[in-house]
Amino acid sequence: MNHNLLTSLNNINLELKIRIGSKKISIKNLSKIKEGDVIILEKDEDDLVDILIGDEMVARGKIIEKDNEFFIEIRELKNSQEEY
Amino acid sequence: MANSDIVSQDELNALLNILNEDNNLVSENKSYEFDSKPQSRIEKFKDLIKISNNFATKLTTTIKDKLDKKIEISFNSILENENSYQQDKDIFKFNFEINSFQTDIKIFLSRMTINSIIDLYLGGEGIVDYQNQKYSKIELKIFNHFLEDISSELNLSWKSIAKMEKSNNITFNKKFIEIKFDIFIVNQAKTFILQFNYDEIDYLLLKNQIDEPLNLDKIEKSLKKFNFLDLEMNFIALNNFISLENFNSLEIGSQIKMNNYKKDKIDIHIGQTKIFMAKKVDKKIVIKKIAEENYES
Repeated sequence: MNHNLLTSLNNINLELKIRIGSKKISIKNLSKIKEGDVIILEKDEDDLVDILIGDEMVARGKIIEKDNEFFIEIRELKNSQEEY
Repeated sequence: MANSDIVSQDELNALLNILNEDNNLVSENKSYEFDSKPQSRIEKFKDLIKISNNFATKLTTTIKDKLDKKIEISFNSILENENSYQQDKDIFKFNFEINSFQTDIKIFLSRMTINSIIDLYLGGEGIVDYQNQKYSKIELKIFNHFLEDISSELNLSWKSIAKMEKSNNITFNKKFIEIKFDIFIVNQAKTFILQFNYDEIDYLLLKNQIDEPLNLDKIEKSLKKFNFLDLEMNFIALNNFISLENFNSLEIGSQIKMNNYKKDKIDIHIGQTKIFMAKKVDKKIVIKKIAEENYES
């Protein structure tokens, strides 16, 4: 691949999202959700959270709070070679 | 142009006084809400279009009795497509571009139309068969008078969004007159203006989503067909951006600083679309609000 293109791609910013949990829900129930409704999270506070890029989970980690700032510490990295 | 060079200053003053008395612009003081809450962006777009149309209607009313012209609102830059403007030589066009707190609004007036108006004011029939003539002092005074009306109405129409300065920036082109007004966005509209996106407005206008609200009954019926379908809600707590280079250098134990969201604020996504905003209380996710801007996705 072109060297300049590779250098540019290396600087691309990817949005990293932290998923603390997920839940399956039917459209029927989803359409009934209203303000104030409560969904119970099945994970514990100490459980690892998912680190997503787009919809893809790329790593798992732990949320750490330091001086009112939040960090995610990588605990598991998804090895892309595992997939192929 | 009828008698344009033989009107005395006294006669001109008398004429302008009559014009002032006849001024039939309707001032509407309706205030529009441009604070970030509680309106959705689509409501704000609607207001912006109402404001612009209101101004166009006022100007159309002003000249309706004199000339059979209609003022058009354009959300696109006319300068980028000057040829298409010239084809529409007998209409007014109003064009604005907002992308910062201090910016400008441009109004493009057809030379042909202005010449007709001046001719009518001077007692002519309003029929002119030329565009690119040099204006006499008297004609310029009449034009400036008309321009003051426009400025005043523009100020009134746009007061909930911007304050504008009197324009000294007028360019006479071959077929049209370009008038540029410097404007200063008022505080309450700043949040909205920063998010302003012309492509989005054009898209919405094209799709008629502004004037024709979504058919909720139809959506509800089609959703019922898929009642059985399970979707995955993702509870997103924090986010940030990371370069591919930094991502590739991550290893076990690396720490990434996340954004300033509070940890207990949760966005609930289905796929890439944010559906709800929620708050985390221990192991409970409490729904706070339905996300407003899903149409962006």
